[in-house]
Amino acid sequence: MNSVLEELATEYTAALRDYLDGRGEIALQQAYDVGRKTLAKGLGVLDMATIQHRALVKCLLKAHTPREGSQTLRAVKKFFVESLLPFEMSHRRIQEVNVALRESERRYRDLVENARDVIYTLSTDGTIRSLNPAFEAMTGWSGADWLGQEFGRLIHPDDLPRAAALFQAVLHGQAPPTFELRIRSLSGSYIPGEFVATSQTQGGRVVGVLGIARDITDRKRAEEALLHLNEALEAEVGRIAHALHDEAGQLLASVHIVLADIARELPSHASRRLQEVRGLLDKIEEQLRHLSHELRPTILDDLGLGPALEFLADGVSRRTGLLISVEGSPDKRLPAATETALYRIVQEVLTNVTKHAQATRVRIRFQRDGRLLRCSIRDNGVGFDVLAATTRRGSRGLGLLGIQERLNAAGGTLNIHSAPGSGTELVITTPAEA
Amino acid sequence: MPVGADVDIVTARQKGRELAAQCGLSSTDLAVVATAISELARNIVRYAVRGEIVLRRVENGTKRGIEVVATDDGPGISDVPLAMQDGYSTSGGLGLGLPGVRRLMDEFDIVSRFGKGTTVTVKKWRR
Repeated sequence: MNSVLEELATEYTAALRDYLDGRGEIALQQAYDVGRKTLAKGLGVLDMATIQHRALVKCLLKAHTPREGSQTLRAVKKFFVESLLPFEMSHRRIQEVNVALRESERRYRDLVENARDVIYTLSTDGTIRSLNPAFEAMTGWSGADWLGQEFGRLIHPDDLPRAAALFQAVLHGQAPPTFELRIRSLSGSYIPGEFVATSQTQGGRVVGVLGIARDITDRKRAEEALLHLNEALEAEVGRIAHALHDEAGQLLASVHIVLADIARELPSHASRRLQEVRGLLDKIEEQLRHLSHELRPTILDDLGLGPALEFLADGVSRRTGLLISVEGSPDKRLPAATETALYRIVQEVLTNVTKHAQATRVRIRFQRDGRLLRCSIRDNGVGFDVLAATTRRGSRGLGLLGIQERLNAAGGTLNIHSAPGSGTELVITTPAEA
Repeated sequence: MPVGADVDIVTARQKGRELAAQCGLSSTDLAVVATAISELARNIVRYAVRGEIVLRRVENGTKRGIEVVATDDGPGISDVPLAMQDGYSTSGGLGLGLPGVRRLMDEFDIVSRFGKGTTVTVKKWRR
């Protein structure tokens, strides 16, 4: 018997003797207190039984007559009830907690079983520990067949190195908020999945990974369709630019030659009038060329985004009187799709500024930030309520939506800072490398 | 009867046990009633310094039993649901204290106003 138990047994026996000496309730209260202390010391019902037995033996040995013996037994019974009551309370608490736990577990299980996203857990070595029914619905595989298998076998081979790095990052609490990996389905096709994952800890130790995977086939399709649409649009715009520049330009050149012939045959005063017409034709040609360049600037293909934007800004300035400055440059050439997207976005923004902003100045600024390119377009116009403009279905809302979608397709993001009366700044961030 | 010291707890237990016996409760339930009184009185001594415990026979249709009302004019409990959670007080972590009393007794009611004291009413019916 250890010393704690010894001490409690001594106290309990003394109380029992007091009770037998007729001290009544105070002794019963002591029995209860010993039970309470025993429980508080982290001892169990069996320890209480040991204490009880020790007291019973000691007091029975002192009983001289059968009457004293049966008195002792009755007292011992009362004592046992008293000393067990704290354990009874504790026991009932645990029963209540168990019911609540089962209820909470059932709620969470329902949630997991009925979720449309795949919810999974992995152990620290990357084997699959659990999968919800959504896994079967998404991939066609039976979830049970994959338990205990290595999760990498479900990932597209090209994505594996990245998946392994992400798995380690999640274990170390350094994973990005979401990431995309392709999942191998039973049919052999690959499903684009968007993942959210976090490490699971137990007593401060990482024991695995809990993750959610969503099938983003539809979103990928929409993004791809948008990309194709933009490409088709670019091709169409290119065709129109070509017609304006080359075909209309050639016609104008022919008109010049004919007019020069006619001028030679006319008296000098009439020839001077014709000279004015030729001057007007030159202006038309100049405008056609400019328009054609803005539509599909060959300068964008030949010299890159910086010079193309300077050219665009120059044209818009001349037409509208806006003062437009272009500061910094993307440094080096970006992927063609990104350059086109940025060019179109700046074009759209400048159109917006001209139409709505009542601004006098626009500043376009480029900054390289590691692998990212930041482009800020700021005007000193009337500004607008960003939330209202981006949620309403007006023409401006659609313009911003178009910019947003173009950027999504190029892997970029858009931030708008504006308020009525304080100008507008759009900040575009895109990856600077393919 | 007034409660202000540990000796009062014993008196209250004694009276509770007697009245419960008169109401015809089983010998185990006598101990249950005594335990409830212990815990309620312990709370009064510990948190409110003084208060009182009233014992009553109660009837409800054919049911007969005992009611224990513990009242104090102590600081009161600002958040009763929180105080009723296990682990809120030192004894609650083991399932003792007020939550323990609630689980032992058939009926439990607590009214507390912050700064105005607390009244706990519990009942145990004859089985």
